[in-house]
Amino acid sequence: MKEEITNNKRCAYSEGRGKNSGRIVLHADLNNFFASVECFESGDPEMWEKPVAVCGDSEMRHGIVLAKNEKAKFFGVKTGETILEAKKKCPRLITVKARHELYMRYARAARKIYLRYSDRVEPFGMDEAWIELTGCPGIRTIEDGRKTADEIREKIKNELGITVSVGVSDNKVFAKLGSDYKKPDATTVFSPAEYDSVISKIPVSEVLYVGKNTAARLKSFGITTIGQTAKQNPYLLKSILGKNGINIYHYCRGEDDSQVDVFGSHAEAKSMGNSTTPPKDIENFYEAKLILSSICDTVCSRLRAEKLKCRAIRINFRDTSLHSFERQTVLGFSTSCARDLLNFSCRLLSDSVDLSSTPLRSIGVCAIDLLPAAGTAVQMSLFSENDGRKDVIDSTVDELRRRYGFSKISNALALCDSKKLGYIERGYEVFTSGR
Amino acid sequence: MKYTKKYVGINARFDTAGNIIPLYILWEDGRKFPIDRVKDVRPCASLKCGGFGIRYTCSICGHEIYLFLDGNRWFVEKRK
Repeated sequence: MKEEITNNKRCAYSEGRGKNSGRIVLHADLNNFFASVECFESGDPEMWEKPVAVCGDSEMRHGIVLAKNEKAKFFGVKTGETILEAKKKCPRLITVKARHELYMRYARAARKIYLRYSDRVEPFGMDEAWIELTGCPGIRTIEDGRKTADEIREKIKNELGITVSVGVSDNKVFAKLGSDYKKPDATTVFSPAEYDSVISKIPVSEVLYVGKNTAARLKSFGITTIGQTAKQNPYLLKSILGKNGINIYHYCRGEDDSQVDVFGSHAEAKSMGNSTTPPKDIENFYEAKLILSSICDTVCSRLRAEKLKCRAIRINFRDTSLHSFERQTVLGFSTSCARDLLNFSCRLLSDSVDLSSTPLRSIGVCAIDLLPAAGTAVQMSLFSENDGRKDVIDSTVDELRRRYGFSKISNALALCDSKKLGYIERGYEVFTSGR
Repeated sequence: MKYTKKYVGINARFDTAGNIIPLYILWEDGRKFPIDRVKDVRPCASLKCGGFGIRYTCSICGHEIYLFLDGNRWFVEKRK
């Protein structure tokens, strides 16, 4: 991408000379997805007029707002805050427990509708998807894209009872920007003709992959809009934001040429991890080890199922004041053995935090720097204790789980979970949902 | 007027093309309602009581009712 950097203050995109000209990409975003499904499923038309929030299970200490409808938004209810905080802002807030299976059904049905128009449908989370219409029969111009977007909106409304916002553009980033621009139930076309009048004036924080911190950093340099970002020297952006600065520079100039994947194809995993918030805080190293052993077991089972190994691990944890931390280390060898991951994660944890003074609310382990298990050269160690027995044990455990279910065999350490820290029972669910 | 989903039993015929043609609605008290005609079949949401599926517009005793195939269960829209 370095060769492509041009410090051209005039944006080729706005002049219709973008490298994507001729492409038609849609981005569909189901509006307030979980909350809309709950309002619709209630069968009560008045429910749409009431503030509704979909929340996690408070008994399992997952009692945060996962999604809210327009009315709840009006009262300032935010995703991620606790039910108590939300109720303080809106005492008449109706809270409903999340039903992920139901949302998955709706999401699958929505994708089936998108697939009637193109086989290149790339989901982005449960409620969003890109749809590439380039080359589809009867689609030639961006106006055809708009008509298809309107048709998709009608179909979603009639067949699923919920609404969707659709952005139409010639690249994925501006298509997403379009779907966020007008909500709910709207089509927004962002073509080069709209660049100077609309797109360039949108805050840069709305651009994909520009998070809170990135936007704040840009703001400290007086850069707040897409147009301002597009006019900067790319090397200045690189010096402010690292290599992501170059990506953001290109995105703001409409120079995103990433393709929409064919539905069902999935990109290679770069990391694989699991985390949990147990019903009780983790107050000592022994409890932490119990939970880490189960998490490492699940992570390694997933690694082996995908025929991968990792060369580094990262642990993440959150204390009771909801401060999050991450620590990572290189293993020095590649592995998919739970015992190896457990040893390193325990060492990382004990080096990073004193649990007697800082109890933890949640903890997670993530295998990073992945590589295929087969055909990878192995660096032997003179002091390695792996004589092949660990691999035999792992493959036997995998086979038992495949035949009889994930929960039929687990680490003996799991039997010590007298305080019911809650992860072990969820092992199978995590294993299957994370795949 | 509020409606609720009422799951019902169905007697149906499967034709050689794989289409499902509902013949009777079996109510919970044992009554059978023969379906005179299926006028329309399409994927659709139930705007009265929520949920979605394949909507069969059926004529029963001169009345038009919507019968939904929701996964592998059938429901009708019933007044609360």
